[in-house]
Amino acid sequence: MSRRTWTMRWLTAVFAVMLLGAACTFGEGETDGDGGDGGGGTTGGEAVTLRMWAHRSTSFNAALRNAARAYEAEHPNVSIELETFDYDSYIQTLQTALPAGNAPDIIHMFGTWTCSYADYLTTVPDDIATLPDAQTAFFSGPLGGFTCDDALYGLPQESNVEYGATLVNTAMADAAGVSTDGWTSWDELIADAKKVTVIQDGAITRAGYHFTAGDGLAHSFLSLILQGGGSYLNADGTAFTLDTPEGERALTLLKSMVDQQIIDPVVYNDEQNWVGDCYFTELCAMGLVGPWAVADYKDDYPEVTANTIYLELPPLEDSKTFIADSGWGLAVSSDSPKADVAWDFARFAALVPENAEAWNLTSGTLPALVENAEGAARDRLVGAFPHFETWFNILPNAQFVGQLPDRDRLYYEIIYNHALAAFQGGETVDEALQAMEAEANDTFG
Amino acid sequence: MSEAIGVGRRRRWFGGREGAQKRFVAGVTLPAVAFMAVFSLLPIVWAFALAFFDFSPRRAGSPFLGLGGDNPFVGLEHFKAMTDFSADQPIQVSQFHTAVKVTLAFAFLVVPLNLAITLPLAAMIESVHTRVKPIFRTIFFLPVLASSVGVAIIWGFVLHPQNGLLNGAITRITGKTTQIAWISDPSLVYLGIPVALLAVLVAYLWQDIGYNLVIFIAALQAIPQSVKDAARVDGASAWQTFRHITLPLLKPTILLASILTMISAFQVFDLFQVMTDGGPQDQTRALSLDIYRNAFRYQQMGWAAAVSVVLFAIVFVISLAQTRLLRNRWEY
Amino acid sequence: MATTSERIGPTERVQVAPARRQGVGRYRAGRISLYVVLAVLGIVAAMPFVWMILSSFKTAEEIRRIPPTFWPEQATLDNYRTILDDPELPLALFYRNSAFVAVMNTLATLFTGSILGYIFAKFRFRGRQALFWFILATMMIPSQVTMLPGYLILLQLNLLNNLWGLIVPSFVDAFAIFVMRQFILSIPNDESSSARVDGASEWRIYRSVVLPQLGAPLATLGMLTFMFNWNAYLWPLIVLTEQNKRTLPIILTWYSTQHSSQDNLVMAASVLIVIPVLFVFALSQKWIVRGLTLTGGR
Repeated sequence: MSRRTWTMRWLTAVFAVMLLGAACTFGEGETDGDGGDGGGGTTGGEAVTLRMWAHRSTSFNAALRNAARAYEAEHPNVSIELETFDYDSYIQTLQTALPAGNAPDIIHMFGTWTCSYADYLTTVPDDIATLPDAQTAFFSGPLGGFTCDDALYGLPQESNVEYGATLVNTAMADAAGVSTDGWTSWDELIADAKKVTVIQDGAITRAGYHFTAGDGLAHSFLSLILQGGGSYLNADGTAFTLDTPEGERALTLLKSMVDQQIIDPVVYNDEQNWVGDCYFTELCAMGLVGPWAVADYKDDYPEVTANTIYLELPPLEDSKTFIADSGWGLAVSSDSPKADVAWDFARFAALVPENAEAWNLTSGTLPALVENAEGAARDRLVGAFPHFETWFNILPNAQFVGQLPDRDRLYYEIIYNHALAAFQGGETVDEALQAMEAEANDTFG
Repeated sequence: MSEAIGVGRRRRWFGGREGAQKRFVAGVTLPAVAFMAVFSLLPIVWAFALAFFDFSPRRAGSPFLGLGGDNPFVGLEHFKAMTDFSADQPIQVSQFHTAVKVTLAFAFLVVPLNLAITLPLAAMIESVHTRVKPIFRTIFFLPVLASSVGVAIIWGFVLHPQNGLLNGAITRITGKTTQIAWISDPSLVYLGIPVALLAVLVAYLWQDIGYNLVIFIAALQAIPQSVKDAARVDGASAWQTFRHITLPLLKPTILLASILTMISAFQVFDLFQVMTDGGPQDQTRALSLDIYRNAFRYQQMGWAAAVSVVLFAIVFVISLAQTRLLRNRWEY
Repeated sequence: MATTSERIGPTERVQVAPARRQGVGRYRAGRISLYVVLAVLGIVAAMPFVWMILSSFKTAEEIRRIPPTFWPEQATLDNYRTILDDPELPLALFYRNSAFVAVMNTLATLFTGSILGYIFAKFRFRGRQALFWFILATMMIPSQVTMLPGYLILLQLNLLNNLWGLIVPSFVDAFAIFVMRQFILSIPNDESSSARVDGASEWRIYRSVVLPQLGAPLATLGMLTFMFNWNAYLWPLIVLTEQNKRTLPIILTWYSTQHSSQDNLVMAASVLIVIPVLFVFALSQKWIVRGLTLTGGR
């Protein structure tokens, strides 16, 4: 009886403490992170608070914070708060918040998504940049996504590339006697990849070339279609054409790499041993991922970073074209009561060459501004990221992927699932292509 | 007395003792009813209504709950689409069919396996020394207290192909480097059931046996010792006692536990999302996950509502059938 | 014999009868194998927790070894230090959010459950039967059915991304009403009747006569509700979009995807988030267990 009473009292005490703690400090928490619905107001005084949303990425978030602090230094009455979200739930968050009127002032938006949210965004004011101005200042790839129906809805900050060159661990390459001069054909790449793969008892403990993450796989597949002379969208962009001879050639090439055991998509894919994790934890010798990954991982894995270079991927035939998404940039929601200030910040961060360059340096991304891809700016970027040299050479071959109704679903569920099924024998290449095309066309509906 | 009450009722509706009681009841139930009308009844009605519309919160509809307008009434179209088994069915229909299969397989595996584990286990724990009993009960009950997210993450790591406990143990025992991808290899199928689904099943059983275990232990304790002794005196072995005396007495408890276990199994979400997120090639895409994805990721709330109606119907029918079946066979 | 004791404990009885009948040897073997089997099963059941705790003390390098080690070769507290120092993971804040939601929900549920249970048990009024059946029926609806419109309702009420959005809809809980009513039905009416005769108001009766007798079921229901709310994942995931407002289960998921290549950190985070409440719940097990046996409640 006494033990029970003691436990009861102890539990009541725990409860009370928790309730007190929650109640007492709860007030503070509310005002801190919550900028209020629809951004801070400016009744009377000049003070402006802007809320900015971004997906979670160490280097990107650092770059955004630096830009925010720099802007605040020039405009002391403005304060910008950054809130970050898991990439996986970022789309969902935007989809629920934008119609709900819960949106922040500034959204760090992925270009290819922008047009599906156009109803909830404001266009770039003319005094910041007109569409023709933007088309001169930025590369067409990054700008493409932010342009909807001839109106500009955002300013790009990077040239997104997820194909064209692959990460190569030079230490592993040297140890296996693989030269790092580059390849002229896929057969060469496959042969080299086999040399750096490690297999123990039939299990691949180190993958040779990791291309089976979501982005890598989709970009490989679509780029190879282009390089084979085909097209994945029909002429007016209203339907996908994946079940074609070029599609078959692309998927068969990718499948042959799995068959030759330079990667096991069961163990190395988008969920497990994702390409960035895999490469930097030395479970992969080569990996297909954009240069931003180096910036993200370099602090935690300096030794691997020191041995990292990018090598150009061989073309299928003559053409070196590859698809690129319209990458990350800044957009302003139509809920924002301070849209003018928000756009001024966007201009500051994305249009002013020094600031844009600083952003690229911190995030490890290629510039979207044409000006920053040449001259002194280019030299500085290459100085900070030697592998940028390779990317600058490749960048002219990038082609904007086009307006896709649901890019993430196409890449990460449709192409990804069926390609993996084809690799693992669950579907034949033909079945996979047919299913991909049918499901992709459903996304238009 | 009744006269007094009668008088009170006729003359003073809100006065006196009767009135005070009525005031009290009204004062409590009316707000409760109003509250439940908004937060319990309205969602149910709305969910069933949504199933007949093509609704996305991003589109503007009529002011009445956003239905109509850009969110048109489509009648039974969703339900008709669900019966489309042709080769060119839209992706959401084929995913729905997969989800139904996955969910049914999961639920119908969970219940017998759960009972097969918890009943003997309860009997064993019940028969040990009183001091040791709480220790064992606690060990098996702890997973219940853990958050299912934690369970999913722990088991995800246990089953990790390269760094996980299971493959590590197999590697050490067999001497061969084993990298079986238990939850991400779609080609692993055992007796027609994807291994990924079995993995989630194991994790769920591990977390869930605590519930039925304590229920059965308590039920076993309630069996009078005299009954067991009579059996012993007649020469019955422990197993015979269990089978012919204990089990029949436990039937009502077993019935209740199996129904509740079944209903819970249909609603599992956390494990499916955190452990496999629909699994390799939709092999663990349970209905709860399908509904969530369609509603919040693809913003197809009308379709998601229709699927949830189907889920409700399945749960309802199976619980009803279970009750009837088990009760009839085990009347005593 | 004296063995016809009132003690229901099987140990006493079983010891005597078989010893006479089957011989001490066979009995011993049976008991030993019973304990062995239970011990083995217990170890297997505890293994995931053990693995989690051991892994949380391994270094980043060791956690990635193929094949993995079991005992940490170089146990380190670094993982915990990293997590506790991580500015993006203010654990205290998330503990507070979870505590706030769980405590408020528990208090609300206990109040509405007890008072409505009391009304259904002890009072007659028009529509009582229908209303009670309705309340029971709501328990049968899978949560996935109502989460969509639930979300839309919160959207209209502007309670999204707000901890109150997790509390307000759960004010009236069908399960609590059901359990309380069951219990209150068995409370005799004498005390309340005499209190009425003495002129006490109905509220007074509820507060001073009925409520004190509900100690045990209230404690049990409280523990169950608290546990359920503390561990809830799906509904908070839908409602809370801002990181600062999120509760522990969501944070744990986020952290594990964020650090997917660093399982040592993920395991340490799991320990910090899962284990403390296990202690609290394990101590209050008695009430939870009692509640489960009374109601079979899930």
